[in-house]
Amino acid sequence: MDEKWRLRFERERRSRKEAEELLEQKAVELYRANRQLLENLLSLEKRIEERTQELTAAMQAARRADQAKTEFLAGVSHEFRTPITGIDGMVDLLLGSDLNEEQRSQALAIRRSARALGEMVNNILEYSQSDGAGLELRELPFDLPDLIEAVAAHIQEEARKKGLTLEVELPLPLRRTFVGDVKRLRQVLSHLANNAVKFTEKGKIGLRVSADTDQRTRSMVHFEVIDSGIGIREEDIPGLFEAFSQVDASFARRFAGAGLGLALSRRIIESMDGKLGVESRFGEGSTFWFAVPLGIEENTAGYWILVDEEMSVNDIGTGTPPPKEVRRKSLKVLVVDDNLINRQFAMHFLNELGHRSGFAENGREAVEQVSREGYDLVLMDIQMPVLDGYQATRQIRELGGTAATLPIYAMSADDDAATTQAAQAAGMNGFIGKPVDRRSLEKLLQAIPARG
Amino acid sequence: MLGVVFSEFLEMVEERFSIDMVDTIIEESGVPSGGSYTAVGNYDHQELLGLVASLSEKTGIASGDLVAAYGRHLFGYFVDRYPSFFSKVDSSLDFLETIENHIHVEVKKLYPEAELPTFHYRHNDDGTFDMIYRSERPFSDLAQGLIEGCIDYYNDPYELERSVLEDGAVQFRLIGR
Repeated sequence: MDEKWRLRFERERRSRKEAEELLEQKAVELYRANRQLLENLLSLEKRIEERTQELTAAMQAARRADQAKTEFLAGVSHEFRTPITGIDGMVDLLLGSDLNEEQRSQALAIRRSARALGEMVNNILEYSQSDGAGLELRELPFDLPDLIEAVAAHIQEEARKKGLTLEVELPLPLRRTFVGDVKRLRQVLSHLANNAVKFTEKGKIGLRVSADTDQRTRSMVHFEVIDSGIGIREEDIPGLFEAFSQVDASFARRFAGAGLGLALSRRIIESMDGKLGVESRFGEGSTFWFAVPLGIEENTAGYWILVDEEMSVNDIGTGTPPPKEVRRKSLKVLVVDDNLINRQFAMHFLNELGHRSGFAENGREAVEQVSREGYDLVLMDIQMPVLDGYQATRQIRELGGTAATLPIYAMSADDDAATTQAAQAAGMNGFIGKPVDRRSLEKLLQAIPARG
Repeated sequence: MLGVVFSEFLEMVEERFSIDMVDTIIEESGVPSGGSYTAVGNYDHQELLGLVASLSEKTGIASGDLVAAYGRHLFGYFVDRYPSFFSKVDSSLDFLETIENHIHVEVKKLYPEAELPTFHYRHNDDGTFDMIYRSERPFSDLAQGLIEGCIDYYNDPYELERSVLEDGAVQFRLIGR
């Protein structure tokens, strides 16, 4: 019995020892597997690190290549400018010489092409420069109405040729002096306006400015260029602001351009801490907009608010500086022009300079207006439907009385001798260039006596 | 303390005395584990001290002598169980020098929770060799037995001299005969 139990006990002990050995062996295996895992992990980390270094190097190389490309582009563009300027200057000389009609039109075509090329090269140069050190911005006071007027004047000829209506919306509180880089703003706004005309075959182009005017020293000013043109497909919008991109190849064929304008515009606006974007419906038109924070010239704030009839002087608070300009007189001026934008400009400036204005869309309406109301001055377009400026002036003179001596000034883009002579012959008193600019209008108005 | 120290101790008691003696010391020491040790386990070193004290009381042999004897037994067990550690070296001095930087490293791999003593080595100009033992636990007797077992195993002509250093560490000096 004892022997039997002893054998059983020995058997159990052996199996315990075997189990212990087995366990130790498993522990060794586990240890080795762990080590292997750890090694794999470390080598994986090492590989990741190596790949990261490779990628960083590749990225740096790509950046250097991109930088080299940009520098090349800038260099080439710069080199292009000299011969383009040469072409432009020579064409000017050519245009000043004795040319027949056909030669003249050819020379004009050369000038248009040279200028278009020059603009493209400038865009490329500017875009490539803006890529590197960024854009240099100048903070200078400027008149917002002047800016809008300049942009509208810039496109109105082309718009008129295509039969497009041009509408400008500039609320009274914004007719004031702001501080910002007006040159850049004009560049962007002109580009958007040009595009609007380019891509619109019928309907209208609108320039609209609005702002959050609650602020005293700084205001977010929104500019919108609205057209009733071909519009843009939604899927094409994201690529629109990328350099050298045009909506599609067929567009590129129809509408020339380096495809840089919008990219550059966005860069300019963004460097001003602003935003530029577009809303569009394909086939219905587009609204390109941008919003930039602009400083408000404090000295002029009081002045402009005084002009603004919608606000009372009490709203300004105390310490308002006295008006900069003293209005000695207020004239009543009749603006005669068949073109809305031309009328709007002239009337806008008249209004701004403290004068009252009326308008007529053609010669016949002008004669009716003058015979009905007492005006101090008539600004008369020459080429008009129904009754042109010369005939209208003759009829006004025939009315007699005050109308016989009423100052009538021709408004025309043509300032050649023939036009001036014909105007004099018709009984006009003088001439003012079109588009009307604020300064020459102001000068003219100073010479006109008020009749009371 | 590693389980193998306990399981081998009871084996030695069984061999040298009897299986009944094993039962007796387990019962009298009242060890919390109840004496069921496995070599791959980990137990409180106080249990070993309790078992040794019981055995000393039953046999009238001093605890230190019992533990040193056990150390020599344990060395033999190690030689059987882990021959690869011994086959690569051919002298007790060379073997002793592998304990700290090789054997203990391997033990830690299998038993990361093991709390092992540390050894420092010194070759003196007079040809003697010092092995300094430091431990959280009072098992210098066990270390002595193991070193003696090692000298016997390699059949080396060393005499072992034991002394206690100022910091409480125990120095074993191997002197050539």
